[in-house]
Amino acid sequence: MSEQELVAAGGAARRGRDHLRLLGRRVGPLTAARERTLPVLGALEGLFPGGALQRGWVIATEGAGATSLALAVAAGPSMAGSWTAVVGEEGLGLAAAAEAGMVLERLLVVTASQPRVAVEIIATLVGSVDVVLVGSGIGRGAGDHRRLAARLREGGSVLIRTGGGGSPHGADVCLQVVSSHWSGLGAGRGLLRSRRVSVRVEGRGAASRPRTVDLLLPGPDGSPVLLGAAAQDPATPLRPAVIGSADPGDPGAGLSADRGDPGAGLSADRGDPGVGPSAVVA
Amino acid sequence: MSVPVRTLVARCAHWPVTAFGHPLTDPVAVVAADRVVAASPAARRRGVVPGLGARTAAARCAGLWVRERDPALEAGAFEPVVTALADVTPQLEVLRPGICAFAARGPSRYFGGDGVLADRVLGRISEVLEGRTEVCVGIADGPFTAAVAAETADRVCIVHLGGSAVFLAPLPVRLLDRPQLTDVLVRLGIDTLGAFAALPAADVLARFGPDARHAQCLAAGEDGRPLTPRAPPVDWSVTVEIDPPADRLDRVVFCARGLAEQLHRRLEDAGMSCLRVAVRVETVEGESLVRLWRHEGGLSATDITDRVRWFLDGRPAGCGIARLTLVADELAPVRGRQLGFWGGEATADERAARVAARLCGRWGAEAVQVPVRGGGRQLDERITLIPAAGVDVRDRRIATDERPWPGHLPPPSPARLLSAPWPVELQDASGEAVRVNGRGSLSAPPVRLTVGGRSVAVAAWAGPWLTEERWWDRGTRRRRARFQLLTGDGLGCLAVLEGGRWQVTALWD
Repeated sequence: MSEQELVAAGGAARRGRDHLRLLGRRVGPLTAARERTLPVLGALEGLFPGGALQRGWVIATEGAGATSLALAVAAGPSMAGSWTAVVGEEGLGLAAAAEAGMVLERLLVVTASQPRVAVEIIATLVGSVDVVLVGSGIGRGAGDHRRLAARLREGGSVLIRTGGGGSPHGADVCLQVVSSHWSGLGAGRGLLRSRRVSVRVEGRGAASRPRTVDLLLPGPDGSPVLLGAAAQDPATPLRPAVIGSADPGDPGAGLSADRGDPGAGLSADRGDPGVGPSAVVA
Repeated sequence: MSVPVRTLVARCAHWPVTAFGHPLTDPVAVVAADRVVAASPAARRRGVVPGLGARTAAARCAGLWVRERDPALEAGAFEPVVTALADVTPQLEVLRPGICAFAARGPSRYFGGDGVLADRVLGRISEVLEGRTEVCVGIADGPFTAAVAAETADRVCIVHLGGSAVFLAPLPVRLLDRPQLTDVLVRLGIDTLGAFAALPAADVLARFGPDARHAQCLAAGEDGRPLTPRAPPVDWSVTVEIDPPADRLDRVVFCARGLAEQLHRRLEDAGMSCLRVAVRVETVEGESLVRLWRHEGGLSATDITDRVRWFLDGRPAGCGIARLTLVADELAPVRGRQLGFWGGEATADERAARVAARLCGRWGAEAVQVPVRGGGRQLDERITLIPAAGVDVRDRRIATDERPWPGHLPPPSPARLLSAPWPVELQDASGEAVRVNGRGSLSAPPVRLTVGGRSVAVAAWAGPWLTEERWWDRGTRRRRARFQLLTGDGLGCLAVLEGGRWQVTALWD
């Protein structure tokens, strides 16, 4: 089995586990607290207090890789059966959305000619779709954002804002990509394969303590991978000092802080000429 | 299997052609979706047969009149024929424009035998049509046999009671009107209805499925036309009083639409679909008109509205309509959409469909779009958007394109496509612009990328990947070389060289 096949098989198994986990949640007995949340992908549970998205939240993603991060956050609810609406984001890569795990059958793309219109559209969508994905230029000021936040809490949807560009308007959780590093591309060879990002999480309430989580976004198969997950492998025991420094509520955060790049092993065959798209005469 | 009902079928030949008012001596072809669906005898003699492309048909027959099929016109033109038969039977069914049927047992006894009845019907219809087309009448046990009798008859064909099997046996299997099935049967050497009927029923069921078994019953003359439709246990009728009485068609049709939707909701709640609908209108003078319409696939609310329009279109204007009643006459259980196993999904789908409709209403039909997969090598071709107004967003399955499309970018796909690509400059170490020659080789490795006056180093790159698409068409041909670039500040982008100009078209954001 070639390395690529192994990676693909690993990815399929992980997707399968994600599906099983989401299914488990849905068939389990519902509690009031659970009903007010939306599930996220397993790799992203460490980003959010409680390991899920709380209905009514505004989530902002920033930095290089903000779009991929927003898609990954939206993928969890989408896989679990929620609808997603994308407002005023004409350039969103839908292929990337599908690779991140979003279900295109449950996606509406709404065009908005002006920021003001977008606010009205979002207010209409809230309550009917569970996740609304918007660009940064939405709304004119703090007033719009306040009204929108109130509407979100009432309707129980989650708003994900990509590329906030430093606008501080009332995000409950702010995910900032502080460093990103691609692997797979060399000088004249290879392909972009996966990206290692450090995401800094800040927010209000339960999410108010800042911390940093390392992810592969996208992972080798398109869906995000938590880098700390590899540390649970018993063959590579962790140093006690690392465990001691980790936030107990967030197992993924500190574990991978000083490990080597696991992505490096995934893409050893840089020189493989068969990987790239071949020149073709259509 | 229910007992076959003695049925009379009256058939006007070449109805799609006749409806346009052409005499049969004109060469006329009626087309739908660019295919000939009907042709006049004059056209047929010159090689224009149904199934032919419209262009080929025009080439075969000089001076051919090509008409686009118009179901409303066909139905409207058939209305006088149906009206003419009103004193023969009260319960007439329009199978489709050009063909109507009714239960023959009662009228036959009243008029004194099948032969007399057939002649009477023939006379009535011929009177109305004034020789514009040939009329054939068939009487037999069950509507299928009667329709076959009408189709094969010269003018009148009466199959005596219990003689269906013998009558059908020597006829070709294609009369079953199931091309896929009959194609296979003919290749197996079974080319008559008799031979097909003689096959063991269990084997037919096992090999071809229940529809073929039903077809075999038809071939054997055991025609239970009601495809096990359940007898309506309750009164499936809805009525509206129109006050003041409507003298304009559009007002009646408007009422009919609401009424049809009301009826449909009731049927939907009961999990039934309507195979036959009766439309009854009452005028201010107390006149009552009834018409039955049938459709095997089930009649939607729009279908019912259309039929009301066709029905009333053929009547003289000026009689005020005071009351409109729709009766779902024959019902069958809906074997339709399977809802999600977890109930929540269905309601989520409903809510999403409603909000999509609301946004379309507020901001225009183009405002809400849904993705579909297409084929192609470029990023914007692999998933495209179509207006949500045109599809049922609730029950969508997006087919995956399994074709290989050699030359497409492998995943991960860029998360951001630039609707207005950035014009950029790509330079090599000596500051010269990087070029790609006709054979796809690079002049020098790229070193610097300049975007709008800002210059960044190229940390890693790969390419060029050439695509030459539609080279056979001067207007739409495109030749492009694509590169993946990783800039010094960690941004991955897709650079495209086309016509000597560099552009960044997508970002791995």
